[in-house]
Amino acid sequence: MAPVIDVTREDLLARRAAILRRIELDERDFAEARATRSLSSEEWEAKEELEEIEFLLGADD
Amino acid sequence: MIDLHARAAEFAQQVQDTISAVLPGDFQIVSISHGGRFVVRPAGDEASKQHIPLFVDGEQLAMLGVQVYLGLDSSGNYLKAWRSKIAVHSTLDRTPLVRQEFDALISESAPLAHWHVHADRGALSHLLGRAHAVRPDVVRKPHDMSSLHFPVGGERFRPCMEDVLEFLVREFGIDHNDRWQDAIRAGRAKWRRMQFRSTVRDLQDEAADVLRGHGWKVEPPADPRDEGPGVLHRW
Repeated sequence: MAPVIDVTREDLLARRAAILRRIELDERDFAEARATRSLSSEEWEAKEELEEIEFLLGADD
Repeated sequence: MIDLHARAAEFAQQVQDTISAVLPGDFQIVSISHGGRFVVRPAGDEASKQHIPLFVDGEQLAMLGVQVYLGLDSSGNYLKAWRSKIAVHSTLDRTPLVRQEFDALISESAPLAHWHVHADRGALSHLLGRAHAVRPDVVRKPHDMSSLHFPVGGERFRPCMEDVLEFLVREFGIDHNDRWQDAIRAGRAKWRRMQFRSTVRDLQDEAADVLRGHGWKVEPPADPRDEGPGVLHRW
């Protein structure tokens, strides 16, 4: 069976912070970039990771 | 008690089995889990590694990204795909070439199921640029064709992963395994039966009318029923 990898809220928050540091944008500026301009390769990958994290963190709401 | 881990693992294994039957190359599909939600995708500790290799005549020229976001449905009894994303990336540039996506919670300004095409066309930019000048709230990125959402059938009638895989084999010329069509047909049939059953649940009176027309005896239940939300009208 395909592996299931459990991640904690702390793991997800740390990963989100690391991704934003990597692209040198805060969440608001990155949201603005996504809405108004084309993303670089690095930003595109960051978007994919951040969407995954946002969905998983939504389980805590 | 529903064993969500087991269901997510089973779903991920089905994705693994279908793609492995169609495409050559090594990859591992996993479920990332937190709080009863799951993201099913290729393994990898960062996005640049979370892909399935795509070959042409044995040379890797592209990558396939597959992500399915699973969570409980409104009944609380089943895992539902709240979002899915399938994207083709070139090895030359890690931004996508084309994407097929579904998002059950997307705002009504965009279709639930849609394709994005990452390409350029001067005449299209001209059209979108003029529209942006008048309606900037509607056309927000006139320079970027990939910002358009090409609608494909809503929640019930959208394409399945097997459609995208066949598209890659038949139109991109991607390398494939010998019995690839068997896996495509089996997966597509399973998907369409599942979507059909959901549609019947949404439109019970329509289904009963069709069955009566074919000689079935069908009586409505005593309880009142509603048509499924959005099945007929949501784009």
